[in-house]
Amino acid sequence: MKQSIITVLIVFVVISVMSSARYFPRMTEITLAEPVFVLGIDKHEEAGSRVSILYEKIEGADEGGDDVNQKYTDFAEGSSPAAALETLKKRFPREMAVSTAEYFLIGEEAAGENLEKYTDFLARNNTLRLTSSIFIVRGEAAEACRILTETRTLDILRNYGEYSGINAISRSMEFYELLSEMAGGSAFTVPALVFKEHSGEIIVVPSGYAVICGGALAGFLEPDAARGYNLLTNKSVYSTVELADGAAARLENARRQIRFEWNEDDKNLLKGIVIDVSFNTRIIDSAGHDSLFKKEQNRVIYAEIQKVIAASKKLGCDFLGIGELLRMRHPVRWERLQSCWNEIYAGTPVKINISSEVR
Amino acid sequence: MLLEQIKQILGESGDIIKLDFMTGGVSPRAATIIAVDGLVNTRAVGVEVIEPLTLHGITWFAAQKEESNVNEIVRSILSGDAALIFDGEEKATVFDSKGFSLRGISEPGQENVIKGPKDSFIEAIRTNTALIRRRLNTPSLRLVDVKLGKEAQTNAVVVYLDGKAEPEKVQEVLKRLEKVSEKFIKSTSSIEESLKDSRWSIFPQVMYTERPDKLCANIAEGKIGILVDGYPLAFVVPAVFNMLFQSGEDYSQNYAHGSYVRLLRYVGAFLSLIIPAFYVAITTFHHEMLPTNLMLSIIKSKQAVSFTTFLEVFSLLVAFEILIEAGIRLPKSIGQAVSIIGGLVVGDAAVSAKLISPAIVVVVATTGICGFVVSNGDLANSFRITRILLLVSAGFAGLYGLSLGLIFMLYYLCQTTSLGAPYMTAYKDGDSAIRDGLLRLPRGRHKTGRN
Repeated sequence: MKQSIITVLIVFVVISVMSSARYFPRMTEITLAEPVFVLGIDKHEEAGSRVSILYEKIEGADEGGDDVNQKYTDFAEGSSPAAALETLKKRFPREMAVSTAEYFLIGEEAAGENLEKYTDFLARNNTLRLTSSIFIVRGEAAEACRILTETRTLDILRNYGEYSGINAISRSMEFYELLSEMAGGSAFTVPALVFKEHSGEIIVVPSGYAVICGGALAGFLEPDAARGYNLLTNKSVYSTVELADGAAARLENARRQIRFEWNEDDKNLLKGIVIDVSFNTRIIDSAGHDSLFKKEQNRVIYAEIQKVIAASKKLGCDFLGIGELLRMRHPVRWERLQSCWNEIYAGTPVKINISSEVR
Repeated sequence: MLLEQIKQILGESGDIIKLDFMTGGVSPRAATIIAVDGLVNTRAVGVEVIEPLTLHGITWFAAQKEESNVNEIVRSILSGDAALIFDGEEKATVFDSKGFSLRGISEPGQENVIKGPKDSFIEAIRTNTALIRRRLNTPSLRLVDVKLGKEAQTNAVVVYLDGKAEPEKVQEVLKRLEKVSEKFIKSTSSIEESLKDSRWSIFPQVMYTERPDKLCANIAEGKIGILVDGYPLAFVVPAVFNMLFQSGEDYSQNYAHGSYVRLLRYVGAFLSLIIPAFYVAITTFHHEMLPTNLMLSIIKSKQAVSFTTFLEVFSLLVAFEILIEAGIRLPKSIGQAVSIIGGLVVGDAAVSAKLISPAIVVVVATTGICGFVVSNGDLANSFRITRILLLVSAGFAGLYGLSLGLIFMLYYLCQTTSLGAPYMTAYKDGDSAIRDGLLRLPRGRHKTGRN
């Protein structure tokens, strides 16, 4: 009995001491928590990093008795994203619940400097969720947070891909998917957020992709090239193609096959790349020219794929995964080519064959 | 003189019968019958003792014995026997002529089963031992009489199977019962605490049952039963943790259903322990574990409540315990109505008055329902205390505190013993844990005789 009492007392003292030293979880009433929905990170020229947030605060009830939720934005600077976040938390009047952040926005300049630094900060923070969506902003993330707050257009992000007014032309990416891509080492894309004018005000919408090469932002993929990218990489279950005269069709079950052509004299020399793309087409509106629809549609799609190939060559970045395919099929040849693959790829002609079946 | 001594000890109570008469037969003698009115079967004494003695000078009462110890004679009289003392004799003839009113054998109050016997123990110890004899019709069944209480000398019987129960454990039980220091056995706790290895433990180390079949099943496995006169239940030792989760229903149903229900009990018991603590830990220390929509919903529901989550949960748990206690004491006719009023109306009013949030009501209600799943009342009561301790530890340090509390509880359970048998012995390896611990495997696959 005496031993048990002594044991309990010792445990109690240890807990009390360690609580005061903050080794234990901190107690905060849930009503004091203000949920953060968007977390933005930018590079700051003087301080180093800037972290901005979009958060929500319940400020009472309206006449009907419903809570009136107001959204606000705030930001802070620091020598690193972690320091900036700590500064922001200390300044925050209540408890800042970053765990509820649904979106991570990384500014263009920050991504261009070193994406890994910022993703590392996000990954190491054990309160942030890996299932949050991530975007690269074509501009400043803080500005995007401010616009999202003022224009109340957070729903656009929430209905991403289903918003009928603006075609996002890109597929969402969750943070853990980005970490997986970064671990792979090859170039990849991240959905981009752009500032766009809509009904007289500037809003923030997803549009196109940001291309990440070598752990940093290499450039952006415009929406028209992004559609071709989605087709080539099967990122979309379906895609809509619109012709100039208003005809439209939905493309389904896109399949691609990539073949490599080798020089006849030197089998290790890559002569060309052939991309065969096939899909099913469901006509939404043929605009009265059924017989020409397929030809016109193939032309549009060919142009889109050409754009994405051209973009990848211009950026000097194989984000289409062609190099990875080459590595899997011809590992011996790949060993000779991998050191300067981006240059070889940029100079190799790409032939595109489109075939479709109209339903 | 013996008669004078007995009269002096018994005093002048109104229910003491002292009948002087002359015996008949060849050599008439003066004799006195002493008995207690209400305890003795006066008709049997009259017809089978006094009448034949008076007429013929003999008696043909079957159950009789001679006793010369005055204390033993007095105890026999006070137990319901009649004592016959001839003038000048220093010994008495004691007739086992008990005739006090007994409650009939009825259905168990708390351990009722659908498929199984419907009889239960009653207050008379000999009826109870007869119920056991009928089931365990074996000559190796031993019933050892003991007396409990320094003054009361309440009759008790230790029941075990010779050759099955460990002799050392039997001797230990007898030794502990002899050491009962109270003068009178006021309640079952007097007996239970004497049998426990650790009197300060909040977990039961003695199992009780009101079912003869359950007692016989345990005795057949090598356990030791204790019956006490005046109490309609039997104690079983050693009582290990998994026994407290077993119910007679498990063995009368199909093994799959029995296993399912037993697992449900374990899950319900575990949930009843941790739900309040887990809720406090998550909402006070670990908001990041909550899905966003749930967090917003909880924030909105708690917006106007002035109390902290810990205080809400703690006070509602205490209110729930008060409601349970009040429900036990209330008359049956109004008990149900008061429970409904307390549970529904007051709870609803408290939520409307913003004293507590709706989520807390759900948490505490779920906890209470899960707690009732535990079949053993003593274990359920232990969990009611442990739940509050875990709540306090979670209130200090969140999930870390809850984990520490659970580890400490597990450690405590593992080092608890019941009559020397480790409390958690059924879970010592996977095989024994599954066979008749967590699950109830088909007959023929149980190992028996484990203590």
